[in-house]
Parts: sequence; C-alpha cells; structure tokens
Amino acid sequence: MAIIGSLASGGMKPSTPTIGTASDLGTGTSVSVAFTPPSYIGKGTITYTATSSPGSLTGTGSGSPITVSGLTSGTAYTFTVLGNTNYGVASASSAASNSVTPAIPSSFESIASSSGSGASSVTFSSIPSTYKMLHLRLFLNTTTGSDSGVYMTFNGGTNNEISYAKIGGRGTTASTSASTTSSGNGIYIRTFGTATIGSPAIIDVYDYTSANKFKTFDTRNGFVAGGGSDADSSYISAVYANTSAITSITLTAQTGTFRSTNSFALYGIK
Amino acid sequence: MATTYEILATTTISGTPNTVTFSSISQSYTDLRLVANFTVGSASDLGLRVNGSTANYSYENFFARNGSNPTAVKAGGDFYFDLTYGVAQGTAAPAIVTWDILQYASTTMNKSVLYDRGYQSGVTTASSSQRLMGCGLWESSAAITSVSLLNVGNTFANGGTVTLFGILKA
Repeated sequence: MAIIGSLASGGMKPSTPTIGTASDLGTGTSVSVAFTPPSYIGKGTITYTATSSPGSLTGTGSGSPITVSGLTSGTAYTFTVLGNTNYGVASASSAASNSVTPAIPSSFESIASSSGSGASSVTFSSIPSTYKMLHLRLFLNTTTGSDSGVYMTFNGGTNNEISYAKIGGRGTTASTSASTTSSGNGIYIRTFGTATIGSPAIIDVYDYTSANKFKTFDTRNGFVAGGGSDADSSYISAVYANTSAITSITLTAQTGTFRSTNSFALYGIK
Repeated sequence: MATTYEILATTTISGTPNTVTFSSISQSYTDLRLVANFTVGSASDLGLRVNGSTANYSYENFFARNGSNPTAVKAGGDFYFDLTYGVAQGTAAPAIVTWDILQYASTTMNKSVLYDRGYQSGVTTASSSQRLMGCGLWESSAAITSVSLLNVGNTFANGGTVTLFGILKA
C-alpha cells in the first residue's frame, strides 16, 4: 500500500468530492448523504465513503447518495465524503454536510397552536389534508367566567348542520340529550374560567378530508370550580352533515375574550 | 429534545403494590396522558394523586353501570381523584383507565384533568360492567412532577401495565 501512496503523490490521487445534502431517511437510525463525484478520479475504480460526526460511522457506495446506518435517533450529525480508488489512493475529505438529526416519523404530529390571548375567536385554517384524523386539545378560559362557553364551527360556516348526542353530569344531575345546532354558532362547549382555573376539552375529528361523507367528531370536556362548588362533565358524539373536507376549525367565545392562559392545540394523526 | 407524543415511562406491575408512581416527570411537554390496563387483587377503589398531595381534589363524575340509568356525582376537597366513587372494581377482568392532565407544568393555573374508566367483569356476564367519565380539578398552582395510580386500601394484581405519555404542542 505504501507503493500506491507514492503513486498518489505522482498525480493519481482523486480530486475531492463536493458535499451535497444529508437527509434523514426516517428510520431513526439512517441518513442519506448526497455528493458530487470529483472530476478526476485517477486510475482504476473508486468507492466513496461517507463518515459521520460524531461517531465516525460510515457507509460506502460507488456513487451518490450513500446511506449511513447505525446512527442514534435524536442525535445531530454532519457527514464528510471521500473517494478511494481500488489502488488504495484516497482523496481528501469533503467539507462537512448540513446537520441532520435522524428520527422515526411520528404518526401523531402537532399542526398549530395558539393562546388566543385577547381575541374572541381562534381559527385553525389551511389545515393539511395529510392526516387521517384531527385531535384538538384545549384549555379554555374566557373573561366571562362562570357558566359560559365556546362554540366550535367548521370551514367558516354557520354549521346549523351539526347533530349530536350528549351525555354528562352537572352537580348531581346526570343527563342525556340529542339535538341539532340551530343558532348558527356551532357545537357548544361549556366552560368556567377564573385567573387560575380553566376548562379542559379534547376533541377528535374523524376522516376530516373525506369529500363524500359527513364528518363525525367526539368531544370530552368539563370544568370544576374551586372547592367543587360547580362542576360539569360532558361527552358529545356529533356529525357535521357536510361532505366537504374540513380545512378550518374556529373556536369562538360565547361572550368576552380568551385569557392569556388559554391553550388551543391542533394535532394530526396519520 | 421533546417530541410531539412520547412515552415518558412505562411499567408492568409486579410485587402487588397498592400504588404505582411516576416521579421526576419532565416539564418539557404541554400535557400528560396516563394509560393503565390492570386487574386488582381484591375489590377496591381506584384513584389518582399528584405530587403526593392528599388534599384539594374536586371532580364531576358521570357514571353508568350494569345497564342502569347513569348517575352524576360532584365532590369537593377530596383526598384524591376518585374514579370509582364507592363502586368497587372486581378482580376478574382488567380495567382500562385514561387520564389527560392538561397544562401540568403551569405554575400559575390550577390543574385540570379529564379521565375515562371502563370495566367489564367477564366474558360471560355483564353483571358488573362499569363506565365512568369525569373532569377534575386539583387546586394547586404547583407544577406536577409526579403522578400516582392508587388502589385504595388494596393492591394491584401483577401483570398490569401503566404508561405515561408526554404530549407537546407546536
């Protein structure tokens, strides 16, 4: 090998590859490293090696891109590439690539969030159509305080076409009911709010991208006032009688505005 | 780095304990979700306690069992969130319980939870089917750093699973 090395010094050494983009392959442990081969590779054939930093894990190939495996999910890596001829003559290493962090794709992703502070409504618009269902996690707290509520509508409509069945309890009274929204405000979520107490609500919207069937959704929500002086626990199964894909969701305070302690979080589930 | 929906801790119950606790909970998430699937060693009440606190739990439970009309219960100032409220769980079949604890890391707001518990006594009889759903308030602005699943006065059978998830918003 030392003899080959002397050939390199005689002009046989390949020129340096040009680093391209390193991309996460979504397995949690592997990355694809792109590069541009050197214009001069010298004598014989050439094999390229991509090396990670940290870890010095390597992958090899006869061209771009090269896959480097065995990486650790959640760790940020950069990569360099060099060429090696079958005579054992190596090029210099390329510059380092961009940093990339391998990760396993999540089936539960955060789409958007807002506090809605000072506003009377919050809208999630241009909702991506890439999920199977939507999941809303809300911490509701309007300036109105006790026995108020928040309305939820879809696609900016008046949503009189929502029908629902509701079960729940308030105090010591359990109730079941079924109805259709008629006020034009959408489905109603009862809330209670003070400077230190809000109302939790979790909503699942199923198959929201369908263009040929009505949309179903469930809500779980409630509130408990200090000392349990007032309390509500509600569960709704509902249908939005519209075949259009849902692209926006609006939550509107019945009266007053949302405090800074509200939390509106929209997630997509694949 | 926190991800959107992540398992923070999970355990398979062993040693027939009466409490399963997850402590030193990361404060990097928006909400917590605790999911338990378990059987019990003897009929017992089930509860949730946070930060080891024995006070200031209030809740509203909607409860149905055995095909009867549902009932509602409101409680204030309890020692824990009571998910059975006087109706013990039998020993034959596992129960499933899910708690959602919102804004658990807040140091300004009292803590709100939503929970859902289901239990069916066995395959061939519906004599002890139960479903309870509720909303609770722990009146403290302290960030929640531990959660405990309680089998009040009795023990959990071995083999059940309890998992804590962290949920992070954008």
